[in-house]
Amino acid sequence: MILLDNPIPRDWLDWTNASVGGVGLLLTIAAIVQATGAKRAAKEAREAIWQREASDSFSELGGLAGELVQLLQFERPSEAAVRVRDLLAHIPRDRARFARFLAADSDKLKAVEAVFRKLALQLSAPGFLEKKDEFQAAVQEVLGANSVLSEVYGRLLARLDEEGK
Amino acid sequence: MSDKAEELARQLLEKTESGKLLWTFVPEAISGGDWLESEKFRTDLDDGFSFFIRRRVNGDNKILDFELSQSGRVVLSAQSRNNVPIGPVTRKLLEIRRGFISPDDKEKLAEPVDEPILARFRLFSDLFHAARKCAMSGDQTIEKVQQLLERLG
Repeated sequence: MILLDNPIPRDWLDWTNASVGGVGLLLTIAAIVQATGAKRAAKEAREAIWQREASDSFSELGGLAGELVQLLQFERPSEAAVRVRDLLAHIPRDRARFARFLAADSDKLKAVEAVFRKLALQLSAPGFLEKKDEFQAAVQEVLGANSVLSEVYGRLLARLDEEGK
Repeated sequence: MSDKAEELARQLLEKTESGKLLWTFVPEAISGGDWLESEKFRTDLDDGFSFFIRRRVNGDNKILDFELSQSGRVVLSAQSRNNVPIGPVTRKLLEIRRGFISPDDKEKLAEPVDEPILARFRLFSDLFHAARKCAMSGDQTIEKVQQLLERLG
């Protein structure tokens, strides 16, 4: 009965303990919230860096493809063959590496790859540049492939800009 | 002067492609030097005027010479080389130079700095190929050789 009338004896020590406990709980919650936010921020930062890397890689591909067209138009097959080989090494690698940013562009890149593979074979055939019609058709195809690469690069940049806002 | 050469080369290309001009192969003495291959073609007009297009090749390097002569006297000549794809630093320097020379010509400033060089090379190269195609169209060498081989039994 005595216990029911006065179940818990309260003095200033009890109140202090209770307050410290409450403050501790609040601080823990705040720390959890902050840690979650920090984790999300770190993930977003990592994603942004990854996207930046993807756009840099495609910028490099665009540069290589531009050089290739110029070398073809200046009829420099040996150097053009080196650029084609570079492109054929880079495109599948970047396509696989940045697959989750590319979505439908992945298939377009496969088509671009096919154009460069065909050109690599043509360049290794003797007298390819002397066959004017075949040569002009190849230049047109490469120009088309370059446009696709530029489009993909543009889309990556747009996405980067969008997420930067 | 070189603009005039390009204008004439353009007209020659057009007329060659439409079959109005006849080109012939010009045998040349082997001059040695760095050039491994050399081919020259000529077409003759009235009043002793002749046009020549010659290509010299060594690996990827090519030089195209275009020439107009009258009775053996060279009246006009122009050359185009393909060893000019330029690096980014040179490109930047050429763009700066062009900016000083013609600061108000927006159309010119917008085009790639090596566009005129490329345009001339393509024109001369196309003319060379058209001239060669024309000169070789009546060539029966392969057929004659095949007949000779058949005759041998």
